[in-house]
Amino acid sequence: MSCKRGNRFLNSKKGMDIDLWFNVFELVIVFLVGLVLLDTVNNEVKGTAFEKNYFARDSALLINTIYASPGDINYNYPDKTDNFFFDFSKNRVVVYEQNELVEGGVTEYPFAEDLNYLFLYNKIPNRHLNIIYKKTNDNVEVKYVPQKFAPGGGMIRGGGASDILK
Amino acid sequence: MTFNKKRGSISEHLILWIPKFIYLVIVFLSVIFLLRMLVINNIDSSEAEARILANRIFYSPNVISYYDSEIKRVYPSTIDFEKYRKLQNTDINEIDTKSITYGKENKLIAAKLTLQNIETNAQDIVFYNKDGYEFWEPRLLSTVAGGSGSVDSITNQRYVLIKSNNKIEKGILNMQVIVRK
Repeated sequence: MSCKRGNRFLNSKKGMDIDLWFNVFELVIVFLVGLVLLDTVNNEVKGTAFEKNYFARDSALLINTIYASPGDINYNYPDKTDNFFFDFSKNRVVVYEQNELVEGGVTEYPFAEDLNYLFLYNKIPNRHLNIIYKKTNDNVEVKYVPQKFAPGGGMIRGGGASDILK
Repeated sequence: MTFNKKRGSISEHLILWIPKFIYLVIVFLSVIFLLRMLVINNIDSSEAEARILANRIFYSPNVISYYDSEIKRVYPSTIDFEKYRKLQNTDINEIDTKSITYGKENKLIAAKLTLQNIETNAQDIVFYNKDGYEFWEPRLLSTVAGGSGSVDSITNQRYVLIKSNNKIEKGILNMQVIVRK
């Protein structure tokens, strides 16, 4: 009964108007969902979760390996890590990007300390040239080489590293 | 009268819109699910972790290998039996608390070392993270609930020399390392 009444109403002019408005509403909703979907796809593709996970695990495994070495070590980490902050604290490496400590998205991985050595905890900011893992006598430390900014605003990278290390 | 008719029509439209909305949500979630399936974020480093621990136990000067403090040299293939004996028969030993420590709780890795003296056939067992080992070891079997896939294991066997009271004997060190994935 109500369906018949509804069909009759939809065939009238006012019913057509409401139908049109609902179609417009549907289009707007589909458009918004499409935008959200594209944004999600974009975030997933550009996301750095994999990189952070990789660097956190690799750094933790590297520290474990350095502890395993019977002698002294000085190792320059070869990968490009200058987009990320590294926080080497007690039994864990935390890797994050700018503002992620507040907004969330940090990745961490545990490593096993050897308390016979003194581990010098360190925070490494982004925009570094490279990270150096070092074990000497009774100390283990992770240092970084900062990027050198030229007075004119330009930035010296790559070839300038040897100058900075001096 | 007209208003009632209009209100009735809108509610009918809204009811008709429910399946469309559900369909839209299903399509949206399916795309997100497929995307998450395709984008790989997981890294399985369990085997590397296990091999590094086995090497750390074997090569580090502070675990079981003989260390000459005068010349500051480690003899990786020579087990200092005095050190080894101290680590036995304790639930939490010096490896857990000092040499390879993950802090208060180790929820990642465990190991069982079996040192077999070839000459006397005696076997001495040392655990690293004994609680973790006893909890995870049954899970290596696929028939156990929560097993098969939740942990990974490697076994490492090395021929060694056992140094005990200025006497050197031949032995085999068997290391089974279990890593939680």
